[in-house]
Amino acid sequence: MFTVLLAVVLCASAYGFLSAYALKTIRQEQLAARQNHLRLLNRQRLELARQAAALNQAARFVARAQELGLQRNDWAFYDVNVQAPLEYEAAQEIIAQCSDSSAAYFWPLSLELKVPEQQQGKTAAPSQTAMGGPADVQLMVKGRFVARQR
Amino acid sequence: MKGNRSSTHVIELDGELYRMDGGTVSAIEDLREISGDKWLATDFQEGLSRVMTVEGPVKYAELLVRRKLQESGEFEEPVSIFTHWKKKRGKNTTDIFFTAVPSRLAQYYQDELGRQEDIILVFGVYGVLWNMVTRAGGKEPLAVVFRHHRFAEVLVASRDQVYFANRCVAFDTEKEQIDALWSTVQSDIETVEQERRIGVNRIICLNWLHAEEIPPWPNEWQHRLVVAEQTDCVVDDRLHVVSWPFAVQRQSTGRSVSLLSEKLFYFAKSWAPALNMLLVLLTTALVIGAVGYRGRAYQLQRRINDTQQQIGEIKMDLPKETLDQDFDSLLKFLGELDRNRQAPSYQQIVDDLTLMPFDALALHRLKVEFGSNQVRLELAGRIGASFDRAHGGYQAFLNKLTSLGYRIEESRFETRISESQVMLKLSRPVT
Repeated sequence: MFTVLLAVVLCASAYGFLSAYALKTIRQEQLAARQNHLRLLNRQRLELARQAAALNQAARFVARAQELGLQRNDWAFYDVNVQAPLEYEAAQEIIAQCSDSSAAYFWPLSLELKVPEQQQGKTAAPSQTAMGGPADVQLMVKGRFVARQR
Repeated sequence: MKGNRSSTHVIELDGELYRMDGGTVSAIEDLREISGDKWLATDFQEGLSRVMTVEGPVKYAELLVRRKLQESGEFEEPVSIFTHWKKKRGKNTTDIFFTAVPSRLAQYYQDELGRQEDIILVFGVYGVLWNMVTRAGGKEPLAVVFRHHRFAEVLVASRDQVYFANRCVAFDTEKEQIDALWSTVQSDIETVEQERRIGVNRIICLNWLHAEEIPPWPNEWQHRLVVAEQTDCVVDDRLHVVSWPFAVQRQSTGRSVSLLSEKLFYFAKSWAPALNMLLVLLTTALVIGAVGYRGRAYQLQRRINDTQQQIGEIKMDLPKETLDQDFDSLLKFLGELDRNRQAPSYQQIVDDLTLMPFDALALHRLKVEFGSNQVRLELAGRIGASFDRAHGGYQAFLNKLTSLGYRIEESRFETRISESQVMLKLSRPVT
């Protein structure tokens, strides 16, 4: 009888043991899940902080650009498109003028210089400048003057 | 399993019951005089022990023996067989060593004794002798002779084979008759040796009260004698030195002829304290384990709460700054501004191409195109000089351009000795 009683107590204690073990296992898994969640949130927080810093830096950059008047709206654009037979000096002058100055920047696009064929000794009709004189070069200049609006 | 110390050993021989209590042997009238569990070593009163060979499978050996005994007329009433050993010999032959007991006596020893409140395990005399053989050590055949009253129980066997079992009987206990009894025993052993072609080199002699003499065998037989361990017994205030109690005490539970249920009850009763102790230990271990795991679970719960609190305290600071849509256009414009400031001007390119003092070269076409990150140039011209001079000057011109940062994409030089035509494609990165 005593043995039977002990067996019953053993069964009860085994049930208690298994319950406690199961509870401990569940708690372990819950803790692991919470810790993973916490790690994820911390990572997200750091990422957000990094993004905020980058945005702040960009905003400062924009503000500074506005201060310095570096927005497109603050600038005027003047296209240059010259195609003409010219004397050598005139062409040289145009080329010299197509460059940055204190008044404006020049954004070059393309330049083409061509010596007329009669200048090369070939037989062809002579080119003439706008002034009626013989042309030394055929000049084609494309570009854009960019000046800050006052 | 060896005999339990809490059990009382009882010997039943020649119609008398003896109780062994330490070194004292006392006669009793009935088993009920002794309380508690008992081990009874008995000659089954009218038991008959034999070694027999029967024609039949091992599992039917007892049936065949019973029929054979009844047919031979040795028992005129139903008989029960207690098997001590059996072994398959041939294809359909079995050797069996048994004690045959009239069924009414077998019923008494198995059923009526089994119904008593205390557990009584019954052992046959020949079971005790067989146990002596198996415990004697060595594989050689040996004989065990148990002398009591006017009888001598003889067993010739080795550890894995039983050759002979028989009870020798004297007319009375006079010395002459006992000497004749010993002579019969000797001749039986000799016969077994001759018939089974074995040599019996050891003869273990066991004795009981009033049968303590040494066998009066010739000298060549005396050296075969092995005196079993003896016990001092006090019977009716007289000291006797006998060996049967020692043999009885060395029995194992498995050799009992009692019913299986009786043996199981005995085992259960014997092992109950150990089982209880084991259960207590297991229960204690489980309780300790349960408490430990509960404590661990409680600690984990606290850590879970702490972690949950930390999660709740984390504030997601979303960026307050926002960028308007013009950021991209601003960035693009600034990039354009910067890139064009880095680009060489038309004047600089023309200067680079005309810097070389190579007056024989006359360019007649120059084309410059500005890309997003490089400037591409195409130029063509004529060199009005001899080949040597033209080629040397042209190479110097190329070297100069390379040193100024231009990369030569394509170069053509065609000569007509007195004048040459050149065509160049160049590029220059804008950084």
